[in-house]
Amino acid sequence: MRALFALFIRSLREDLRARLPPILRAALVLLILLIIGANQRKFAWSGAPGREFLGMLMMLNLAFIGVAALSIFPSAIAEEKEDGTLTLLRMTNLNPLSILLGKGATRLISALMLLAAQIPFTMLAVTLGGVTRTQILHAYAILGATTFFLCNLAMLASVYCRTAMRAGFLTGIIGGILYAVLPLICAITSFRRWRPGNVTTGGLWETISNYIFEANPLYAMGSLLLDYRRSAFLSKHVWISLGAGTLCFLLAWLIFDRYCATAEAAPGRVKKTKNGKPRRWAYVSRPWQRLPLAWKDFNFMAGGRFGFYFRLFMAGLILLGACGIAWSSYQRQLEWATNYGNSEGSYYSKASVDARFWEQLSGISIVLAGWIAGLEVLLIAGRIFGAERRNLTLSSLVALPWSVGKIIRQKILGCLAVLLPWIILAAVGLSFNYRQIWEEIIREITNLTTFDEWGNYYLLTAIGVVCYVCTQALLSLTVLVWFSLRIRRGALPATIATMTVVNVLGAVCLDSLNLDRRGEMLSAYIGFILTLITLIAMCRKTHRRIQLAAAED
Amino acid sequence: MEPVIDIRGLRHAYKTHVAVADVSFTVNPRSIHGFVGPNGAGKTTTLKVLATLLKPQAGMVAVFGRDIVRDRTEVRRKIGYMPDHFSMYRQMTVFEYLDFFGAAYGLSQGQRDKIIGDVLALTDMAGRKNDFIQGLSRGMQQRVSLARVLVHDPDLLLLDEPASGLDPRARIELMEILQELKRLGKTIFISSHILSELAELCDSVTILDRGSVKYTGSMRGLISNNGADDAYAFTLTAEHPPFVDALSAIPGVKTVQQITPGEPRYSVAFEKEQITPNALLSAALSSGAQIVSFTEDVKHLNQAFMDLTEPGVRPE
Repeated sequence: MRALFALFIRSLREDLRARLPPILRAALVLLILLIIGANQRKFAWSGAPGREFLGMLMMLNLAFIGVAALSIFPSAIAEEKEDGTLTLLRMTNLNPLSILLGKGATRLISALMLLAAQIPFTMLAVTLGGVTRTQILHAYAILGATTFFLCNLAMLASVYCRTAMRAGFLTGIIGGILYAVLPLICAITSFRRWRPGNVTTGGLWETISNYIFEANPLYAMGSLLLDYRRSAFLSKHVWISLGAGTLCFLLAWLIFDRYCATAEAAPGRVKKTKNGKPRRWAYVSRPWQRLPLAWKDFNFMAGGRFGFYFRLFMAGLILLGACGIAWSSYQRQLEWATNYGNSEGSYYSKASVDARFWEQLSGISIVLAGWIAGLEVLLIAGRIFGAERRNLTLSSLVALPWSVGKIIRQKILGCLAVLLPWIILAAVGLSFNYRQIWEEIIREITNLTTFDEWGNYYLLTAIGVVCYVCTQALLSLTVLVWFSLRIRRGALPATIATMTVVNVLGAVCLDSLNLDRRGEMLSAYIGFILTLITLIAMCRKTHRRIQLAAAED
Repeated sequence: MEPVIDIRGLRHAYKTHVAVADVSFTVNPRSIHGFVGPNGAGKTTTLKVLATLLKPQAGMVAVFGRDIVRDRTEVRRKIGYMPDHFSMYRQMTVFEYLDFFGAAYGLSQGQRDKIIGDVLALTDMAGRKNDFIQGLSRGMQQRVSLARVLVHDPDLLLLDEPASGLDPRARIELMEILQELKRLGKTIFISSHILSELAELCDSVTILDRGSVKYTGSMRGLISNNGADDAYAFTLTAEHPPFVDALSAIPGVKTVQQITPGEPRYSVAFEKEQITPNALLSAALSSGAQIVSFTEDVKHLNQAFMDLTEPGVRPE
């Protein structure tokens, strides 16, 4: 028994001695207080400020759990494989179960501690009103169960995959299927049953659909916030997540020997064709004469041609899914139109329903393309120099007769290819409804410019906000690159946490100033200028950091 | 003859820790220069400065007569730096890896094809050019690293402990490749913490300890007993007292010592300006001694290294 828990106890001791976990917990608590501060005015006008506050906090926590599931949890076993230390661990008295407990369970406990530390402060929501103490506890039960499931899913991926990055990717794919694709399919099929006058029958698919919805933390959280009377501490979501998490842990234990006996046992080992050439998913061309580093990053960072076609295929699938949703909604509206009347010019007229079909199709495509492109950019930014640092190849790159600026430019160029499929998807989405979107833009601009004296402020404020958001996005990417050069793992969560805290702090400061419209406009420009200055400073700092990191290799 | 490497008064510190202080030495063209020192002596820091990865905080460093700070890009074209760790894109094949670096140095596809073929032949990796790097053994990865350094045909190779972690056979093969490269006209600057590893390979050596140069010059100068005197060792069939008397009486002979008590082995130190080894041998034969061997008495390399460097770990 001592051997079984040896690694686990050691990890817990390390966690207790480490300085970072208590700082993180304190930062999270501070963030809760900042959220209240930042939304003080908004809450004052709300009917149920406590519920709004709880909703915000839960979404923030779910986002953090999602990021942890993609970056921190999957490294549990895979990092040992990458460092070549797993075989050393296996040579000791530690069996697979103790390694899984030691490496995986400690991460889970750290994450759960972060959640537990918040509970007393979240209770402030009860004082704010609109939410009960039980609801808060049930909400944390949902978060805890989701964390448990995702941590064990990531650990299973970590046992199976050769590197932490692949494990994170696999976790993301499975999580995406479970939490996005399956509910989407269920939603599409459910539309068919929601015809007016149609009596639903409890078939097998409906039961499965119910379970899929219940397993989704967003759905579970939404239901809890809407109606506290139906909630329970051990809700369906909690049971499903705990069961699925346990199953993942058992599976990880079962396959541990097969995939972790040696580093080479994990999938991804070198495979060759019959004529001795390496087997690859897609052909890799000779390096591009003028852009060799862009070639390298396109093929070995962004997935190359295979990655490009795969993304294009996924974009096609998303478009198809969007078509499905829009078509279901279209059919439903047509059926309602026959019941409620479809006279010319009415809401359910054929022309109006048709327009809404294209609008919906366009909206879903553009929004999803934007989200996925944003996520891809974040993931690439975390790896663009981080991977070079981890592989100790930065010194070879910096020792080339190139400037650091040229290295950065070529690397960005090589990675930009990941965006192309999503740009195509957004463009296709735009083409479905370009006339209406264009008219809307013109109308908005006209509204902004034809207002009275305040109207000009609106326009200037809008421009200031757009500049602020763009520089914030660039700053986030630069901070992410900088973190990836400073810390070995967890650059993405560190960036998200830093940027969130800074922005929330900014929001609190602004809110406390109680600004008028002119003040709001000024604050947008001050925010933009401050962000721009920070961005320039961070760019210089990152530039220097790249040279330093190369020398430290 | 202009030195390939010219370092004068180099100093570099990491915050409060001075890695190298006042380091000065030169390296001649078309030679193999060993850079030896215990762990933490400052070898890698000096190599990183030479590779233009670190800027010298004080002093002057020139490669092929060019300042490494001012003419950084030009210097980088002329050097090939191999770090002390495997710095490779493991998901590439050997050919792709070399092809990528060839393109990065601006070689055309035709030039790359030719030079990659040559360096793969030199490093005996031609048969593995389609293998993924991640599937290669440590020794093979080291060969690929060396091939990468050679792909742009640099005149100066900076090799940071290239033999560390290699098995004896791989070490010998690596040394043979380096000899071949010297014959091809390259200057090789190779660091190691094992002096004996470089003894047969290097023409000159610099010994660094605790951030400062303890010796720089020819390998022969390092192993001679001291700068002014020469010493020769005699091995006799048996102890023979007239041998000692005869040699001691020769003007210019400073000492005649029995190397190990009880054994008929003697070390004779003399001033090389006053007497030649031939005269010594004649005198020894005249004394009636039965001579088994007559060789130059040199210090063991390890002894020389131990004499020059300080014991213990470098304090912070």
